[in-house]
Amino acid sequence: MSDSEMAELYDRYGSSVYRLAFSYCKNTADAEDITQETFFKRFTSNVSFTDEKSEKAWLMTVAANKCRDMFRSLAYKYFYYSVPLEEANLTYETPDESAVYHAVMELAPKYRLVIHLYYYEGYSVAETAKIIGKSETAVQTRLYRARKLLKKSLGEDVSL
Amino acid sequence: MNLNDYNKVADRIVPSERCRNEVLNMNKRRKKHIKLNKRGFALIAVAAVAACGGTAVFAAERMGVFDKLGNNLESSYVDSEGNEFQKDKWEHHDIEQIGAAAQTFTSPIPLEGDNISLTVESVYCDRNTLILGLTGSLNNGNPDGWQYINFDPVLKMDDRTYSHFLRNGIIDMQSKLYLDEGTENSFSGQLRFTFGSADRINEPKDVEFKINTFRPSSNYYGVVSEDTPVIEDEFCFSLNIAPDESLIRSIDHTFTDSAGYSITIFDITPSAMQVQRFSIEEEHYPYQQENPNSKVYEIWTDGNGKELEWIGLSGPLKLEDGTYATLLQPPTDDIINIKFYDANTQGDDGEPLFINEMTIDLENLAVIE
Repeated sequence: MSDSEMAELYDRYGSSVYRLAFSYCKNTADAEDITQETFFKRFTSNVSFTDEKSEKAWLMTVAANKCRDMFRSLAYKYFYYSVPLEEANLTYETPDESAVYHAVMELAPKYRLVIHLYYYEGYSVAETAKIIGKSETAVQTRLYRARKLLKKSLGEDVSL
Repeated sequence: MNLNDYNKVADRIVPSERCRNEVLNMNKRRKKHIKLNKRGFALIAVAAVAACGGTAVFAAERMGVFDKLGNNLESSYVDSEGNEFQKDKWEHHDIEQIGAAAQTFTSPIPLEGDNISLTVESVYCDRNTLILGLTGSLNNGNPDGWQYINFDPVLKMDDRTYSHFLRNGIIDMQSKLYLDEGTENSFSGQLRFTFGSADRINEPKDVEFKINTFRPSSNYYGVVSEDTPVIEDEFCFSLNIAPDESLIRSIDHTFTDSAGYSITIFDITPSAMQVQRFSIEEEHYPYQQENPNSKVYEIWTDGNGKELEWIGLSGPLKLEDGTYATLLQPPTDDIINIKFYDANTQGDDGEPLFINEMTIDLENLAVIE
């Protein structure tokens, strides 16, 4: 793959991969590492895709797997608990944005992942299931539980 | 309130340019990776030590802690595997301006613990932002070469308590020491609180501080392994903090150009310029009225060409009238240029579409047409 092809690929999907990783890792350093590893795999894998949607889904799958691998490590568990979300310098323009974002980020990683893929990326339940390697029923269950937890956390004012 | 609020925040999360560069250079250099420092270090778990200082006064005199901190933030270090890292690339405050405005204690406050020793060297308070300049060292000489020491601060003022876990009216905070350039065990850093409008320090107040749970690390994020110590020294002290009103340049002016674009600047201090972003009132954007799917953002630069970075806040800055503001780096002169782009539309050059530009003069409080 040429340098310009690599740059084009990164510019097209880099932000999506990074946001997925950030939603899981909750910190910039790991999200950047996951992004780098995901694209390294793409650049060094002999894979081809019929359309952009398939290519993006492949990248999201790799990123999700790498997130899970990282989270399984003991060191990451220490890291996870020690880095405040505020270190990422996120910006909120309204209290609702801050409240909802923090509530989502307080969910367990498996719930954050499906929330991000389903609500932010706009993937269907079936597509989300394929990306995270779970059944559609499992995704529906996670979405249901995630919404329930968010309602509990944010109160009845939230509409999901 | 719904998940669209989550989406709006996520929209603003973008990987850094450094990440892009590293991805695109990976074939040549494989990736750099922040490695955990797994070298042995006896676990420090000591009884808490309370060092109490009395109320302190300070004199208008500059001291070097912010100079060292500024140097530390811009410097880089090389880890045991030869990878180079900038010590802090997310500190958006202009430490040089803050340092020039900070006041140094005539008698710095020593805080001696069993494992770590600190000195409160200087203080900065512009009403919204309170910063203590700290120096310190590890009592064991730092044999493991730690680069950072994070710690947990608690602040009590007017019977209200503020901390990482009890944020109350805090919209941003920072508590970190950095190993000074060229030293093995000399740290400089800051304890910074930025308050929302309802909690800011408008008059002299007695403020109680408690800092504890020091976590040394060799990377910016405080990544720790199971061998990493948590230093459990605890320090309590109190200060009478008076806001320096001379640091606040009140603007309180809305600038509107002939096309109807407008921004509001409230005030400017050495720590930040408080502004009201246009995107908060999206319906007022002429461009957005015509392009409902647009996502307008602004890039601010001052007359010296310095880009004024957004200061990332951990919560919204609500004003007394119920509207919201945000913070930018303060300008270095009176001319400010604001360029508006649509992130959802590409221009001919493939970049976000440029849609408007306005230049304002703070001295005359006018738009330069």
